[in-house]
Amino acid sequence: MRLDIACIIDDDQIFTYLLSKKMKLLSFSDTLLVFKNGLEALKYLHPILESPEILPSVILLDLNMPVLDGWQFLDEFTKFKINKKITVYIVSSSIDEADHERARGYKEVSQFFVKPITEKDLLDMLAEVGEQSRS
Amino acid sequence: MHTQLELYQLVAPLAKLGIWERNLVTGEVHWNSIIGEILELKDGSAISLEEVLLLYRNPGEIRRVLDEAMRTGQPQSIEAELVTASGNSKHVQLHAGARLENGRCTRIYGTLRDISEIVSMRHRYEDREARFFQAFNHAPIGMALVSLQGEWLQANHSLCQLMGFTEAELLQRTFQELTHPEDLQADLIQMQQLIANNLDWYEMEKRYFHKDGHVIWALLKVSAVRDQAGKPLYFISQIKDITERKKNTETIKKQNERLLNFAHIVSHNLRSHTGNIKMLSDMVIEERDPLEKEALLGMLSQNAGNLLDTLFHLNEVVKINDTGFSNRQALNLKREIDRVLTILSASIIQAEASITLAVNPDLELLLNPAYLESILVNLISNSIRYRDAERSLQVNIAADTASDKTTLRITDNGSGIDLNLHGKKLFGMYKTFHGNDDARGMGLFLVKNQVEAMDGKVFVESVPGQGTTFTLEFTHR
Repeated sequence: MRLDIACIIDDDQIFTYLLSKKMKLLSFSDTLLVFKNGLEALKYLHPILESPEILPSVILLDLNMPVLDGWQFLDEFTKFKINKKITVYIVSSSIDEADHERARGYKEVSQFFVKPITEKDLLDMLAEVGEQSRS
Repeated sequence: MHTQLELYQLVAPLAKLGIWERNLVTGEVHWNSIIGEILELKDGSAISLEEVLLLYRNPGEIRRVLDEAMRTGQPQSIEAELVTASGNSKHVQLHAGARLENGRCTRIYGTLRDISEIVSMRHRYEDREARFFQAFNHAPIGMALVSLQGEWLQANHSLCQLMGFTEAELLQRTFQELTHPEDLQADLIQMQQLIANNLDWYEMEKRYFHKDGHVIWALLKVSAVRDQAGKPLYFISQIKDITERKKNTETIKKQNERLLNFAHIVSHNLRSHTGNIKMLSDMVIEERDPLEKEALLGMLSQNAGNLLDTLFHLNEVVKINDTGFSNRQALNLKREIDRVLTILSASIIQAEASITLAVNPDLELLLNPAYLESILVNLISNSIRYRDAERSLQVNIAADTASDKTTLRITDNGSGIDLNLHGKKLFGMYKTFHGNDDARGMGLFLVKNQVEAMDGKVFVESVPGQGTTFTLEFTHR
């Protein structure tokens, strides 16, 4: 199973470098988009909402970011009307239960992964998203 | 139809009224049976005036009253204590009248009534009242009698001390005048409920103004004193000073916020660095390509450096909470600002910024010098860093002193910040907003913590594209 387009939104450049390297090794997706904060991601996604073929099918979203953080990104993102199933995973260092509780409040958010991300985490994501695309 | 005499003889025992008469010419004595009962004479028959006088605790006093009646012919009355023939103590009311013929008294007469019960009731009542006022005057909490309109009728020593007024000054004011406007409505509503007898008492936390204008937090408990019909006569207010408690609660709340903030930093920032180190070291182990391995090791070292920085910042946060308040000293504000402008002069010149100062050169404030410097450096360098590229930077620094506080405003015409979007996290640790790579997200966090550690407040106003104003407020104490 290999996804078409995956997207990482995270300001930690070391982390995004490491994660994209892991994803490449696993052949996670054909294309990988990386944005360093919520605003940059929104700016990219907004003009292409009508073109599902170039929208990502999975977004790995960090919470603590400058400019627009993960929550603010979600609040905008959930207003979009999109003709494609996009699975959002939160990938954050936060072990604060309040953050986990808050994430459960978004039906668009599928799971909360706490950093560091392992190979197994990525395989779980692949399995879940693959399951959804088959059904 | 009874004759008048008969009616008298019938009614007097009903009223328990003793009736007596002495004819001073003939020596004849008349008295009804009630006199005998009051005096508890064994056979109830009349005894001589001298013998009667001896029953009184103070015979001289009774004699003076009788003499006065006999001399003037005017009716006299007295309340007195006597010991009956059987040895019981009683309070009686004696009325005496006299008939004068040619300036000479021929007859004296009058009534005698046992008022022991009334007197003891009165004593109990007076005793209770005395005890109440004893407690009232010496109560360690403020107490007052307040009219239904809100005028202070009587105030005890503790209340006067709490409010800073003498009792006379206080009685010229209403509680409404001394109540913080935000708390007045709630007080008045409950007072009306009390007057309407829907409440027996009410209790609330509220703010009063001290004579010198500062706010006092108090726990107020009000009950109403009512007449027989339940109509309220006046209020009894008990006012306990809880200013200290309120302040402590506020401090604890702030400390909890800081602790929570601290937990967040530990949860997020320390974990993100260590998470990266874990991932990096795993990948270093697995990596075959020596060049790639080299690159990963470089990142590992960089990450370890970031971890150290974060630990250093955490230490700075802890230090603020420890020593902030105690290390304050009188500082000349203008001189301190001038010094900071010198420190920043290179970047001010480079940015071609124009800075105006409106600060009284004699103004002194009680502040922690290291904090003041850090606050000024952070705010002014923020103005420089986030200036608008379209126009030359203008920064105005102005201090304004009122009787109770000094306000310092730092206003710039820079790029501003969208407070609707970022307002809540503006002063948070590791929050950056402009996407600049050099922003650490520590400056405003430190500013807020340092200002609050010195018991001050910091506010921000900003319009994106127009500029930002930071306002610092320090109360004098």
